[in-house]
Amino acid sequence: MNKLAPLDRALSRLPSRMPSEDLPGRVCRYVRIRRRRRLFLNLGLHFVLIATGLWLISPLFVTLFASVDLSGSGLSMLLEWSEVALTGIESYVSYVWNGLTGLQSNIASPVTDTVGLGVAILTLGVLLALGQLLRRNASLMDEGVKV
Amino acid sequence: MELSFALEQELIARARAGDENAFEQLVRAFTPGLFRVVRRMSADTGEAEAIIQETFWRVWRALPRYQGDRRFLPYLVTIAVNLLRDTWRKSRRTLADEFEAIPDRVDESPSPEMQMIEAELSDTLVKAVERLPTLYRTVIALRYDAGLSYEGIAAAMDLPLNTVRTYLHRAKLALQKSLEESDE
Repeated sequence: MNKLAPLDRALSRLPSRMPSEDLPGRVCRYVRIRRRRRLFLNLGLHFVLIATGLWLISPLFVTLFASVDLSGSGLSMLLEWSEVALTGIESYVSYVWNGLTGLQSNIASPVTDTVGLGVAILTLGVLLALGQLLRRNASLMDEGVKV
Repeated sequence: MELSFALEQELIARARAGDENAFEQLVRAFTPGLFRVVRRMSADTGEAEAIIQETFWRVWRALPRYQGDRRFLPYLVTIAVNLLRDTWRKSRRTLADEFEAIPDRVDESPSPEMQMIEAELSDTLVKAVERLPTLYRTVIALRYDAGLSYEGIAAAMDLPLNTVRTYLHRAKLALQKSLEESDE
């Protein structure tokens, strides 16, 4: 017989300390707090990315808005602003498309670089923020409001 | 609260999908078992509780990569052991230090007193386990508190299987010696 067998059996029945009753609750709270902190940190970073992107592409929008004639009637101004907004979106999409298809050619122009970089950062920020909100951690927002 | 394997898997699947209530049910179900293992390995209750909190936080983050066919407690234990190893590293307790604390030669001769261990010495044994170097205490906890196989211990501690066998054997010899000394 293995001389360590009695020890083996005794070890199998070794009494152990029990955790305090509130430990599971404390663990849940800890995990909740860490999740919330991480969510807000991520959203903060995404906000910084979006703000940086908007700041970098702002010259493009300034040029577009400067072309609006402010002396016209309400309806014509509304139409004009809509056109500017659509042009802005179109420019944005166009920059994303050009960035994806012709990155090499864009490098030559510093101005396009800045706007292109802005568009890239803005797109990244928006995508990350959307991804974050769609993921499971987004539900923590509700919890954060409740607590 | 003891969970069946099916319920355990269901809760894990729900937690992976972002169900926080399911995750908290897992926390409540597995904290006592995990505490027993971690407390045996750690220096004090405070350290054990901190390790358990951090373990569950890491599990929450790692859930999307969790392989659904394994039991949850060994998975938790593996993460807890990694965290404990980090703690030991920070406190500069290395593997070599742990071994220096163990006498090179342990008397392997059988002792008649050993026959009475099961009936009389559980309290003494608990104290003897607490006096073991951390590494030996860890293999004992993983084997007897967590009920891991040798392979499971090897995976949890990132050690070769034979090394685990050796550690466990040495740990038991050290315990035996300690018990004999306490009898004298």
